[in-house]
Amino acid sequence: MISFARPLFFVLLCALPLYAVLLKTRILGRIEFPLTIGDWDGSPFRWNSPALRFARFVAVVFFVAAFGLAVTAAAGPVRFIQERMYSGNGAGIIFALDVSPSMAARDMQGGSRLEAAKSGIRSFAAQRPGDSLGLVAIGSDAALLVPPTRDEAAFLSRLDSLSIGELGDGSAIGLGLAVAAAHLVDRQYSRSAVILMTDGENNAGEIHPNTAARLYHTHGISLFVTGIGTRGEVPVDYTDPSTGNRVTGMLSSEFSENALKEIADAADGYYLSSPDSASLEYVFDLADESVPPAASSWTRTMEQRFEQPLLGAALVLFALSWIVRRLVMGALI
Amino acid sequence: MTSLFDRPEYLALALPAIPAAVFVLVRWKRMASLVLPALLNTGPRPAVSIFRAVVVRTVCYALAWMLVACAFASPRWGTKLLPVRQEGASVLFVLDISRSMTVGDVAPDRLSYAAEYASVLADRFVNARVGIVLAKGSGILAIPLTADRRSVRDLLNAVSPAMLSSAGSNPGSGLEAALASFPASSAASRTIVLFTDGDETSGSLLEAARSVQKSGASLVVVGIGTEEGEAIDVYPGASEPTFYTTRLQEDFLRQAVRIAGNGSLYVNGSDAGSALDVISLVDGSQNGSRMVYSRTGVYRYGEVLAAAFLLFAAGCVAGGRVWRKRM
Repeated sequence: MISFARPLFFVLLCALPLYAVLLKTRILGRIEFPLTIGDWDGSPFRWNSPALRFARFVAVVFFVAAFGLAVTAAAGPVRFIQERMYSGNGAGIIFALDVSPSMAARDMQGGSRLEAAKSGIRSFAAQRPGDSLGLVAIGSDAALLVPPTRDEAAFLSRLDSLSIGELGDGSAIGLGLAVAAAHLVDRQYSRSAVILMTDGENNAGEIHPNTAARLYHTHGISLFVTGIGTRGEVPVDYTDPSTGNRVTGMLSSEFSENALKEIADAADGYYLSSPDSASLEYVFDLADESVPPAASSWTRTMEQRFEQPLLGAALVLFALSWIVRRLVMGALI
Repeated sequence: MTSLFDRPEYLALALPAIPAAVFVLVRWKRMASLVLPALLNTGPRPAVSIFRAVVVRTVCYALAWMLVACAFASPRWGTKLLPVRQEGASVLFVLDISRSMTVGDVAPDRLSYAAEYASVLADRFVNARVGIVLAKGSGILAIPLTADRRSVRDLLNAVSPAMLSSAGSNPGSGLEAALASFPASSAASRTIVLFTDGDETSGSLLEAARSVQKSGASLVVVGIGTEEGEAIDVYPGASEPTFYTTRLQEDFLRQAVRIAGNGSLYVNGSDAGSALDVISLVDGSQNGSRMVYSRTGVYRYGEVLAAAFLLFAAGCVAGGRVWRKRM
């Protein structure tokens, strides 16, 4: 709902009809003078051709519209928006995302496994403005890319830039789980959780996944494990960041769900298979239910002002009116 | 001048009014030189009166256009106090990692000293969220605001000028990056702690300080270095070394703090107890909910547009009224 900070300015809308009345009643006059223009044996002087009449009409319409917009801007159009404010750190949730080359398999409704995972994370993040979200990438090594933060823009920016093969060919799942846990054990958060998204088995890193998973049990960190993708032959298409070469072909996708279930069991967590995007959504729904979002502390009222766009439009229309009148019609006075 | 407008670049839109007015007057004059002599003392209105009316009207219209363009640039002057509820604290460290920060006039060198200083502060801000922005030729958010002290300490232990490839020294860009990194939905107080020697090769720290003032954040500048300074080879790869003595620019940094307002503070990082001043500034906002007053500029669309309408009305009336009077 738009309201006006200075509605008195709308009185100025009466100025244009008033001006017309003053001209009509000749209280005000135009700058004009009689002048005979003619050319012996020349064609008759046509000062009021249909084209000029139309141009004049257009110029008047532009001018009246511009004046109306300027008056509306002066009246101070403003909309009040309620914005939720959050204090504290909320829940700490880290996404441990496998970025090994097999995550490029395009078996998630035409998209790759990594794209499906990113899309799910983005939707989840949009519902959790008061919580601290972090990102761990898992390859042949594991790295914390974003510490748990409420800066959604920074989190999403790094998530979007994450690419296949960024951390090598393997899947150091145990190391990834340990890195994520290490940044949640300080108990700075109302609840702590890690969502592990992988399509493979642990084949790199010095820490066994079950050992890392037991940390979760000890420190009260919830763990959600999901195995992304289907089994069998799947098409793969990605660019290897180390060589810059495009890799395409078919991948024989096999991974042991039992190994992933064991990890979840060791952490008293959940395992869910995600052969398609709908199943993946269910993982986020489950995480959302198990780790409730932070409640907003209060709402604050923000002003959204509209003077600037109205004035921009008014300036354009004033300029067009002038151009039509002075340059197209060739008005002299 | 630029501080009067949110978007001073739009002021350029006022300029076309000048050639437009000149165009109208020159064209009028050319036409008048042909036809007005015939009207002199014979027409319903003397030629001089008509010309004067045209000039007055044209100037009024041009000025009215200029004022609308000024309004488009979002003018604001004067300030008002707005109550803002805050809970918790968020602190962004801006570390100047330009080459001048590698000199050793404070041991072991300015950058290591600043990193250690920041590390001590981070440990003391127990309930605050802390983040790190690195500033060199440009400012980059390295660690977003987080309660995870481990990430903050890891970066501070590894910080070096090689972390950013952009050349130069632009601490102002660090402030701008920090301002953009405070989440809008956060109820926490906003403090930026800038560690710099004040050397600036591009950008404007003072301009960034104005942005800090407008945002309502507080700025703490920790000056790193000494007034005597130390020489640094400006082009280390060149065959002939070119030395430049880099000094702590205290006056410049104090000026930035004055502009930033909002209870901002300057401390010399080498002074004993300076960290306590910074800690006490942030400590006050770490716990509990409180109401603070933020000074904010007042938009003046109404005043500027009212002046534009008056000039426009004067332009409309000028020609007609003068004519009627003389008829």
